[in-house]
Order: sequence, then structure tokens, then C-alpha cells
Amino acid sequence: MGLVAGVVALNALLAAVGYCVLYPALRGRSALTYASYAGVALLMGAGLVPLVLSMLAPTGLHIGLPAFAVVAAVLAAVGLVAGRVFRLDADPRRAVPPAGRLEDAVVTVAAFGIVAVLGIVLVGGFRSSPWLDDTWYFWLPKGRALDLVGLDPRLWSPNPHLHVLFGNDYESLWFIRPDNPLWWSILLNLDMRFVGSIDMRAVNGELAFLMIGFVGAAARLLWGRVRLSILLPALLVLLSAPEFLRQAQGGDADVPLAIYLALAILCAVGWLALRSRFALALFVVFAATAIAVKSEGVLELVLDLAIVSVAAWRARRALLPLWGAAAAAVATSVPWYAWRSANGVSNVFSLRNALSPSYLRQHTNLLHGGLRILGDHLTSIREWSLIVPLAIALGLVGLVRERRIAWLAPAAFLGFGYVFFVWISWADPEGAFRLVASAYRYVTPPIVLAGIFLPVLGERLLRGISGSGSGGPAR
Amino acid sequence: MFGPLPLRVRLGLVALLALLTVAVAFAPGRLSGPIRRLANYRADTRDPIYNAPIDGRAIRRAGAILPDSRGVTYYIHTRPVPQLGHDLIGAGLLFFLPAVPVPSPREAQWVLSYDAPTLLPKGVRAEKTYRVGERIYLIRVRQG
Repeated sequence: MGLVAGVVALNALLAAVGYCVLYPALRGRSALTYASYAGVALLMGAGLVPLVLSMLAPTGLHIGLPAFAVVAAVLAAVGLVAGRVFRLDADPRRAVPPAGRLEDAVVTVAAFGIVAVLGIVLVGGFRSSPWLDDTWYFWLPKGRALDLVGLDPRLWSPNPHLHVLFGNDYESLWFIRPDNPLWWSILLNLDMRFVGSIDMRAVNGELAFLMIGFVGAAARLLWGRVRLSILLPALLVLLSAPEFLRQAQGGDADVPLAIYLALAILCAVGWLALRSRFALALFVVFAATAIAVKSEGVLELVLDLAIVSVAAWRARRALLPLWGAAAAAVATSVPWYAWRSANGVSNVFSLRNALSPSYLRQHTNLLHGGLRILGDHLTSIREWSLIVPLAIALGLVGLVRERRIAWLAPAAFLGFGYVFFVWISWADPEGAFRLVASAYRYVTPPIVLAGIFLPVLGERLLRGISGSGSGGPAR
Repeated sequence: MFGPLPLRVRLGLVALLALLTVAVAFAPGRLSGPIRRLANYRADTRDPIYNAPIDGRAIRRAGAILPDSRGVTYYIHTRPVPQLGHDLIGAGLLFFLPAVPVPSPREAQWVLSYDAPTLLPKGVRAEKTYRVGERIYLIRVRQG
């Protein structure tokens, strides 16, 4: 099909599948309402189709275009049939127009900024090959292997026999980081199949579509609940963070992980705050996808859910369904974990090391390095703009005013995420290398997660100041 | 969604913002840096951005010649430069599948000879040689 047409066609199909799956929640709504869910639909389809394919991969099935067509058709059919049987209320709110001219001008400027940045991301994506070599060294080749030979242990299982010496350095002939799940590899291979050849610019084109879907989905889910003069500027702050944009052209899986994790936790909070079954259903899909993107996805999800659970302890009756939904999301990765276990593909992160005081005592240099390097990336305004200071400042102001611990949840995502990755790096035999090579990416999911809550924090603060407030969201 | 801002004022604001964006995009020096980087003014090719100087066309040619069968094996023969070896392994995994790499020429049916000091490693003999680039060959071999 060619580069642009191929990537556009794949994403249009994924969005169509997403719409079918959303049918129980959108049936009977207006065309405008359907259009407003385009971002959610794209991320649903892009999440679900490769997720189901990755569940099938351990059976030995070749994950190419025929498998894609069947899975996409089945998912779409299931969604359409489900829409006839039961109904979920998406509860699409309408935004209250800005009250004053200044507020309206702020909304207009922010909306322009979002469209402009996403437009440049899209154009730039199709003009750039990923700058990170992981993309062509193992993420995409794994997808090609799943398509051409299936999930072959020869390529995934570590085998000391399969080493080659170049100069003074050994290189392995199996895939490095074989423990990572298959979702991103499968999606990238589908892009190449639709393009018709291996064109690395399709990777960044796909990332641009995911970024657009992310902003569209976040805006839709918060629309009418957060006033526009807060929602759009806050999304612009998140979207325009230089490091977020830079990584969106790196080709690695950290940006998709950050996107799906952030939306999963946002939906978890939507369930707890509103008891929205639609939010809970979205949570399952987004959380399952986050787990299927990278190995650390499941750990980050559990950590962030634990923070949300503590912060929302007042709504503890709603926690059981939430954790049940989280268990369902984890269950979608069981086939992959079982295959890994059967084929000796262990995690690069060793829990035994992580819990061994003697091991950790012998590697305190990594602790110091981790604290410093990860801390530098986490607090860098040059990299992440105002996301971190705003999340902490707004949370503290809210805490002082209302004395409710829930205000600190976004700051806790950052703080505990930081501690978590320091601990992982400390316990990692290759922590020194990975801290230098990858620490800037470790902090991406917690920062994006904190960033998606900036509009919520801002809205609650403003609502507290102005009562229900003019120009406030519809209730 | 639209507030009290008159349509003309709103359009004027958008036009001003668009003008500003275009001006920044074409401004000389550091001002245009963020947009230049993001839009990637000098577009990349479809090939991976290799760390070592790899001939992407030669790799694609070799990939097109290798038989499309999972039973096919190949060996990478090159200079003893770690980064070059690393990138060639990655390029092979990307472009040569379903053929799989092997660690020894004795296990290989094909050899990718990439800017190597000798055409072939010891222990194998050429059956058919394809020149795919400058000092780059794909060679069907038999054990010597």
C-alpha cells in the first residue's frame, strides 16, 4: 500500500474494530458522539487486536495478515452482538462553553496548540526512522518472526551455543530481552504488512497515531467533567513535553506503555469516582494492553492500583470489582507467561536478587547511581516540562485545603514509580548499563500517568475555590 | 463548546497563531529547533538508523536473495568490530527471516560476507556468489 496509506489503513481498521467493541456503549448515539470517541475506539482496537493475537502466539500460530483478519472480524462481531444483548452507559457529557472571553481565548489557544503539535507529530512521524536501535534490533524482528516462523524457541530462548564473537565482544543470535511480551512486536509487524515492505518510518507513523488516539481518548473521557479552560491547556502541557515528543519518534515500547497505563488508571479512578461500568470495561482493555506491552507493565499496574486503592479507601466497596477486573487483565497474559516458563525464558529482573539483602549490599553503587540518574530525569523541566512540579504543587495545595490523601495520588505515582525503578535497577545485574541506556525511558510511564491527572487536579481545585463555579463542567 | 468570543475574533486568533507557528517553523537558528526536530526537516530513508555504517540496500538485496524458508541458515562473516557485528545481526534478524543465523560457518548454508578480510571463513567453499554491494557478498556455501 505504501507508507502513509498502509499505516492509515491499518489504524482505520483498528479504530473500526474498536467502534464495534464500543457498540454496547454507543448504540443509538448521534454521529457526533461516535466521532468524539474516535481516540477511544482507536486505542481499543489497537490494544485488543494485537493483545488477542499475542494470546494466540504460544499455540504456534503464525501471526500475520490472515490471523489479523480473523481476530479483527471476530472481535468486531462479538462487539456488535454484545451491543444487541446488553448495554453499557458511556455517559458522554457535553462541555459547558467557556463563560468569559478570556477563558474562551485560553480554550482556543490551547485547542490550536494541541492540533498543531499533533499535526507536526504526525507529519514528522512519517518522515523519521526510529532513533532507538531496540526497534529494529528486536521489537520489529520479533514481530516478523511471529509472522514468518511462529513463536520459535530457537529465537527466544537464551542458548550459550548461539554466541558470536566480533572483535572482543560477544553478541547473541537470539532475541535480546526475550522476556518482553509480544504486543508491540505484533502491531509493528502489522504496520509493515500493510505498508508492503519494511519501512521503519511506519513505526513512528504508528506512534503518532497512538499519540493522537491518546489525546483524543483522554479528552473524551474527561470531557464535560473538567472545564475546557483547564482540560485543554493541561493536555497541551502533557502532550508538548519535549521528552514525550522525542520518545514518540524513538520507536520503543515505553510510549505505548505510558499511554495505556495512564488511560487504565484514569478509567480505574472513573470507576471508583462514578461507579461507571463503562470505565471499568475500558480499564480491563487498557490494563491488559499495558501488561502486554512490556515486562514491567504488570508491576507498574499493580503498584499504581495499590496507590489508587489507598487513596480511594473511602470507596473501598468498589475496590473488589476493580481488583477483579485487574485480575482479568492479568489473565490475558497467562499464555505468554506459561510459554516463557515452559521454554526457560526468565525475566531479566530477578526477584531473588531484589529481595536478597546480601546481594543488594554488594551493589550499593547501583543504588546511588539509580537515585541520581532516575531523579535527574524525573525532575528535569527541560525533558518533561511542568508536569512533575504541577502534579506535586496542585496535589499539595489540594491536600492542605481538603486534608484528603487522594490529592497526593499523582505525586505518589511519581514517587513510588521512582522508588520502584531505583529498586529494579539496584537488583539488576546489568543495572549499570541499563541506567545509562534506558533510565530516561523508565520514568516515562509514571510521568505521563501523573500528567493525565493534571486536568482532574486543576478542576477540583478550581471547583473548591469558586464553589460550583461559572464555566464549570456539566454535572 | 464555543464561548462568547465573536467568530471574527476567534478566527483572527487562530490565524495569528497559525502565522506565529509558521514563522517559528521557518525561523533561522535555535528558535525553529523544536519544530525542525519534530517535523524532521531532512527526512530519513525507510532503512533503520544503524549505529555502524551499514549498506542498507545491500542488506535488502541479500534478504531478497535468501530462500524464503525456515530451514535456511546463514553465517555473518565480517571484520572484528563489535558494533558492526551487532548491527549486522540485527539487520539479519530484520531482513533475513525466516532464515535463521548460526554461530559457526560449518552450520551455515549461506554466508553474508560483509567487508570481511577474506571472502569466506575457513571450512566452507563457495557454491554461488552474489555481489550485493561494495565488498558485500551473499554466498551459498558447502562444507569444505
